[in-house]
Formats: sequence, C-alpha cells, structure tokens
Amino acid sequence: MPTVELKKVTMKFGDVTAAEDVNLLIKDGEYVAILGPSGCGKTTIAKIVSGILEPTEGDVYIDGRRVNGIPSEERRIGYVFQNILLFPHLSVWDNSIYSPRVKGLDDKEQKALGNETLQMVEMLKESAKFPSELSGGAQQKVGLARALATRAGLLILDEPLSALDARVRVDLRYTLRNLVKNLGLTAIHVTHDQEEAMSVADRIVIMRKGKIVEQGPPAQMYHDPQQIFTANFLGESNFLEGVVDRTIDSWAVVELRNEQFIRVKGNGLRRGQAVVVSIRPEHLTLTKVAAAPMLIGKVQDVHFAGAYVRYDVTVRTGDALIVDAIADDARFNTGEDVIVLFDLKHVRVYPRPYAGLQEALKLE
Amino acid sequence: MPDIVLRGLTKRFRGRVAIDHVDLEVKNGEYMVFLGPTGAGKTTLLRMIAGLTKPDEGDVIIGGKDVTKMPPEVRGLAYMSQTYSLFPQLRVWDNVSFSPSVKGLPPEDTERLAREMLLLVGLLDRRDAYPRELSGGMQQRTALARALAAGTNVLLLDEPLRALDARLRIALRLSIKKLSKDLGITALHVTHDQEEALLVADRVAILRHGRIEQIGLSRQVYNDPVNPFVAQFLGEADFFLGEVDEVSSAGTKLHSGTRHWVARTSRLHPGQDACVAAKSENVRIVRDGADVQNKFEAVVTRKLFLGRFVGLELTSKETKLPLKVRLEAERGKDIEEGSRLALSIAPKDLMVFPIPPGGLAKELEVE
Repeated sequence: MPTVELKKVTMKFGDVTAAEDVNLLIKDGEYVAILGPSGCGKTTIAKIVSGILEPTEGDVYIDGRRVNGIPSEERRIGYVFQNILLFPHLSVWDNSIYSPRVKGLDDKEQKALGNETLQMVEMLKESAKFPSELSGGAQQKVGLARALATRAGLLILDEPLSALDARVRVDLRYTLRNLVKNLGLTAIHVTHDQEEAMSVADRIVIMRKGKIVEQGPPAQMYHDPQQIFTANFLGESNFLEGVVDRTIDSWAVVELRNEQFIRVKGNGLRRGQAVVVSIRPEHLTLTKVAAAPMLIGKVQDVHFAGAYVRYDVTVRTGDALIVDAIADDARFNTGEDVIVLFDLKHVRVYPRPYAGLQEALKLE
Repeated sequence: MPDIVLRGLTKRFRGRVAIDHVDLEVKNGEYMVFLGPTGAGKTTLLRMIAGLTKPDEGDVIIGGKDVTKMPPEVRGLAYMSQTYSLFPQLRVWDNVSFSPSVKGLPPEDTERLAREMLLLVGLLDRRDAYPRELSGGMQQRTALARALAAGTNVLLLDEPLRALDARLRIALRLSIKKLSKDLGITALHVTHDQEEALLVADRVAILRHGRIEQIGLSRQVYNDPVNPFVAQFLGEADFFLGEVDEVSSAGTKLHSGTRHWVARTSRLHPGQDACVAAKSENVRIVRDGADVQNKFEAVVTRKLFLGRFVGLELTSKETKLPLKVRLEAERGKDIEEGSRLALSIAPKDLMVFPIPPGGLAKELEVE
C-alpha cells in the first residue's frame, strides 16, 4: 500500500495561509489521524493529498511518485466525506459500485466488488434500499463501501463520523479501524474529535494555525505531550502558572500564585524560570489527609459524568481546577474543604509560553 | 413561576407518531436535559413547548397558564436553535437587541439590556462584529445573549453545542448551565450526547420513539436504568441472557447455560428469561485466585486507547456475547490483545431486566 509524503507544503488562499511548510511522512499501512480545531488546516492537507487542491508551494509524493499536477482520479485514492453524499435516486447497491473506476469493470467483477465491500461494512442485506430509508450511520457505511470498492490502497477520511450521533460515532470508529487494518490500507483520517483520533489511529498529527504542533502514537501523545497545546487539546488538563523558586537535585520547587508552593520533578528547570505546571483531572485526587505534593482547596461544584465524577475545586493559588474521580460515589460535597493531591509522575512542567497561557491554549 | 407542565402531549407527522402522550413537569429553575438518539422526538418536544410546532393532542402549561393554543411570541420563552439563526447582515449588537420584546422597550432600556447580556457572555468588545467574523464559539454566545435578551425565564436549547468542535464542546458544556443557574432561569436542553447530558443536567429525560423511557437525576438514570436501552445508551454496557432461579430482597440468582450468577434484586420470577447487564467500567479484573462472586474468564480480542480510559473487547464462553471493559489507562497498560483475564462483576453492579419485546438486539439499536 502507498506511502504518502508532503515536503514543505504551503497552501495560501489569497492572504490566508491555510497550511504552512508542512512536512509529513505516512508509512505503508499506517493509520494517521490529523487532529485540530476548525481552521487549523487539516482538511486542506487531506485535499492536497487527494488532488482536490494544488499546493501553492511544496511537493506531494504518493508511493514515491511526485503527484503535483496529477488529477485526483489518477491518484488511486478512496475518499470518504463528512457529508455522506450518496446518490438519493440510486440503491445501496448502485451507490456502492458507483465510482468510475468500478464502472469500467465488466459486470462480473462489478458484482464481486459490490458484494465484497457491502459485506465488509455489513450492509449487503440492505442492497436494495435507498439512502432515504437508512439511518445516518448506515449511509456512512455505504459511503465507506463505495470508497473501498475502488480498491484504492490509500483511504482519505474527511471527518467521516462528524455528521452522526455521538453513540453511532463510537460504534463506527471500531468498524473503520478494523477495515483499514484488515485490508492493510494506508489511511489519513481528519477529525476535530480527540477521542476519535486516539481510538482509531496509529499516529496522531496535531495541527494548529496551518502548522503541525506535535505528532506521535496516541498513548505517548496523551501521557507525555511535549507541547502545552497538546496537553490541553488531547484530553483535558489543569494549568497552574508559577516561577521556579529553587532546584534540589532532580527536583524543583515552583512558587505558584498567592505564595503557594509545589514540588515537581524538575530536570532542566532553572531558578527564576517562568513555568506552567500541568496535570490531567484524573491524576488529581481529593482527600482529607495531607501528603505531598498537594494544594488546599474548596469544592465549588460536583458533576456526575457516568464513569467518573467531576469536581470543580478552587485552590489557594486562586486557580480553578477540575478533578475527576473514577468510580467515586461523590464523597465530597459543594463547599467542602479538601486537599488536592498531585500524582507526581503525571505532572508536566512547560516553559511559560511567550504569548501567554491563554493564547497558547486557545481552541479557536 | 415558570414551571412547565406537559400533559398527554402528542404529535404525528404524516401518520407517524413523533411524540407519544408525553407527561412531564419541569420545576422552576431546573436544568432539564432531553437525551435520545436521532428521531427520538426531542426536538419536536422542544418545539411544541416553544409553540413552533402545534401538538395534535395534549396541553402545554407554563407558569400555571395553558399556552397550548398561544403563538410562540407570547409564551415568554427564549429558543436557541442548533444553527443559532443569527442575522448575517446585522452586527452582534443589533442581533442581540433584535428580539421583538426588546424592540418594544425604550431605547435606553434596550441599550442597557443588550450591554448586560453581551457582558454576561463576554462579547461586549465584539459588539461591532458581523457573525461571519466570529468563531463558532462566539457565534454560539451571541445567539445565547440574543435569546436571553428577550428577558425570559425559560431557555429552550436545541443541541446548543452541536455546531462546535469536539474539544470546544467539552470546554463549553458547563458554561450555559452556569449562566442559567446564575440567572435563576429554567432551561430545557436537547442533546444526543450522553456525556454532555449527564454532566450538565439536574434531571435527564431519556427519549426513544417519542416516549420518555426514564427521567431522573443523572446518577439515577445511569446507575439504575429501567431497561436495557437506557442501560446501554448512557455510557457503555455489557449484556448477556439468562434464566432466573430465585429472587429475594438480597438479590436475583440466575443461570446462563451451566454458569450461575448473583445479581441485584429484581421483579422477575423464577423460570423467567432475563437480560443481564453491567456497565463496562464495573466489569473488573481480578487476580486469578481471587475469591469473589461472579468470577469468570475472558480473552482480550481488542484493545483501544481512549485517553483516560483503555477500552477492551473480550470474548468469554460464560457470557457468549462479546464484552466491553473500560479501565483506567494506568491499569490497562500491560494488557495485550490475546491476554486471558479473570473478571468479576459485583452482584450490586449486575442488573436484571425482562427480555425486551422484540428481543435484545432490537432493544439496543441506537438508530
């Protein structure tokens, strides 16, 4: 299956730069999710790979061949769109074998392909139905079958699940990953949904303002984000601003607001450095018993979220923290004084961003 | 006192029932969420309360007054649609001060109200912008300010977060609730997103096929679902089939094949076929030799990384149906596809339901 490579790709629309100097190599059989907020350039990248857009600068290679200037239909790509775009007057069957590449085959081959791909997405029984008789999820499965029927080795999925209900979305992402892996395809999946990206992809590429912020396997990106934007965008995080007060061996003591101190692992930190201490809500624990490292606070609100309980807690630094307790029966109440314990191995310390914390975390 | 009461509310579209005799009371100041899959009737229900859709039967009573036959503008409600419906040719300021009830006010009151509302949603500094110049989140807040400027006590929200990016949705989901609580207004919020619903709601009403399947606090509907549909629509649940042996106040004893289980108490009777369910985070991994109830073995067929959780899919001879298990990321670290695990479900976490009419598979359909 094909590799994909972008070299110094820039895309400008008038004054707007949608993608800037993007370098990306996607391996044979790799499932890559491009994740980012609206307007980050992720769809632009998908369109450049597929040939819908021609980059202003830079080169695109598919399977080692430079494809700049080569039209979409000659790139052997299966494309699945957010808006499902089935032909309303055609049956599921006819939709599944619609693509020109399939149309060029003889009847027998067409039939074999239609059967095979509809079976893969478990829609063969619905062959005779029309799109209007199907749910959104079922329609998207037909869209996927149509893309697979082209026998393209590279699949581009542009927000394929975004138009669907939350619940259906969760079910379908399993289907997607399974199909791609079983068929050994190379896939580029564009999404703004972090959980979707984490659950389907071998590698996540996070984009913001036309540039790649960070990339890596989902678990590594979640547990050890190198960039503060990633820490916030992939999952949620608490951020506390402070200054390194002193360093002792591999430890650092950070002075937070209101003369509160916290001890963190501090390799490479230096005295006087402005930093942001980051920790995910599930790595904080509420207790009544003091232990280090901790901050003292008060519960402001309690929200039940199913598999976990979320506490809004203000601590003495003045910061508002979110604390998630898994399998907790809401042991603490609004107004209660609590101790917030930090799980040290999950604390990350970042240099304070030049443009300010708010700007560095901005979601839109 | 804008308590909302619905009595026998019914709506059919071309003979198909969209809302089927719904009775509901919403308390003053309550934040109520209507949750359900597409086509469940949530939006229709909201539109009937707003007066945008005419019911075929039943009454809508707001603040003790029957408004069923009244047009939307005299009901004193604010309605925010999924797409916000801002006027593209008007600036933020003019969008917010547009509402007819605001228009009737003297200019200085309109001015004060618009200013207050924009301040409330944090957009006063963007008063001169046109909607297209705003981000999605800002457009949503403009729509919210406009809805609130109508001076309402009841806010109707149709999928207020749907048009936003997933991450932004997470960041903003509690903001509307906070605002409505600060203002002391009653809110009805429609969504298909179960996590959003659980997190923001005082009470959740779960709709399916035009009926309210269950209504209660988030914790109640999550922990004590009335049927398998609700059990799996909120969070994630595992199911298998069995036959009841014995029921007492202490629990339900049942078997599935040759395997015996102890579950929560139920109203089923001995000999009755049962559908047994557990939330996927309540299926726990135990030590091989652990002496616990409802212990069984399963093989991991798939492992999925979900951030804070790891999702496992397993097969087990004991339950026949495939299982899903949700673990804290830390605990799931060393488990691999193909691993054999000892699992257990505490009797209090094992729920028992009668076999749903139409069978279990049909019951669990979400579309």
